[in-house]
Amino acid sequence: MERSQDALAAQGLGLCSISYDSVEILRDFAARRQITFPMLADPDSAIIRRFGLLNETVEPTSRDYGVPHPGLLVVDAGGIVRERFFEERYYNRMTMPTVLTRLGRAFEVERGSIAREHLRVGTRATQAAVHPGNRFTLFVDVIPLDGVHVYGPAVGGGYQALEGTVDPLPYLTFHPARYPDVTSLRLAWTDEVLTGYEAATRIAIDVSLGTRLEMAAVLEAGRGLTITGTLRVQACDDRMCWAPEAIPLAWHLDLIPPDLERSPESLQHKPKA
Amino acid sequence: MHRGPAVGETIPALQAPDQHGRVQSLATIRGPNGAVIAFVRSADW
Repeated sequence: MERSQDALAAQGLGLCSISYDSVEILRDFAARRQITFPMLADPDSAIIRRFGLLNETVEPTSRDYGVPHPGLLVVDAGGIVRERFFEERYYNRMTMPTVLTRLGRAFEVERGSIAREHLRVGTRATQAAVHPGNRFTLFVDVIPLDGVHVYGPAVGGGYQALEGTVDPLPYLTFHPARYPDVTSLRLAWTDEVLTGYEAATRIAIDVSLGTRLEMAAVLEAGRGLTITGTLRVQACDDRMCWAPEAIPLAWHLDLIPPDLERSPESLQHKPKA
Repeated sequence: MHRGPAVGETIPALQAPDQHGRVQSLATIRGPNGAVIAFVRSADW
């Protein structure tokens, strides 16, 4: 979050966090991690409750009682909610580059590129390094060359529909792929209305990583995270169609262990009596 | 998933001290287009 402040400021957005920590815990954490954005202290969870975000599945006597359901609200200058990013599982967080991408700012790193005679395929991601629990976005860029079109995700008519998929891994959940709006294709050989893309097209697939325990073996191996997938596509120009293809995709990302450092013992949250 | 203020709703009052002990509110946090408010579990653990 600290590193995304400039990108947020460029969008005219401020940033703050809210937690049930005391000012002292936050002062210690902010000094250790050089955090400059405001971290608001809500030790009685009054604000958390007022927002309707108190996690009431937590045992009232436990140390954790008082925490919110974690997530992000994007509000306008008048305090009206524009976007909400809350996950199903408490340990998942949408990363800031992914949030920024959803807010309309392109935020991506290239991961790979494949060339065919009639199209190019690029793999990109919202970031080059991820932590367990992160929710981030993988992109598949399908770039037809001049005069070439590819069919869209719901084309029918016996043509291969565009489809980007990610191969399953036990510690990873992928969300339904998002495709841009298709255009109607004017084709010389048919009156049929077919839909697809005539220009560069980006497919977005969100991925949520499991906990550090679920990812223990991958973290231990120290070789980062490799996610594979497949792009199914069919391209044609105004004279001919290429056979449908299944193009293998790969994204390699650095995998960083979570920060497990705690506050000094005298400041730490304790179970309630 | 459907907890807290919905899209289109106005958030409740927001006022609390930050890590420096300075009282902050939406008025002091926001930029011209608003703000991102992150509800986090803890900086301690």
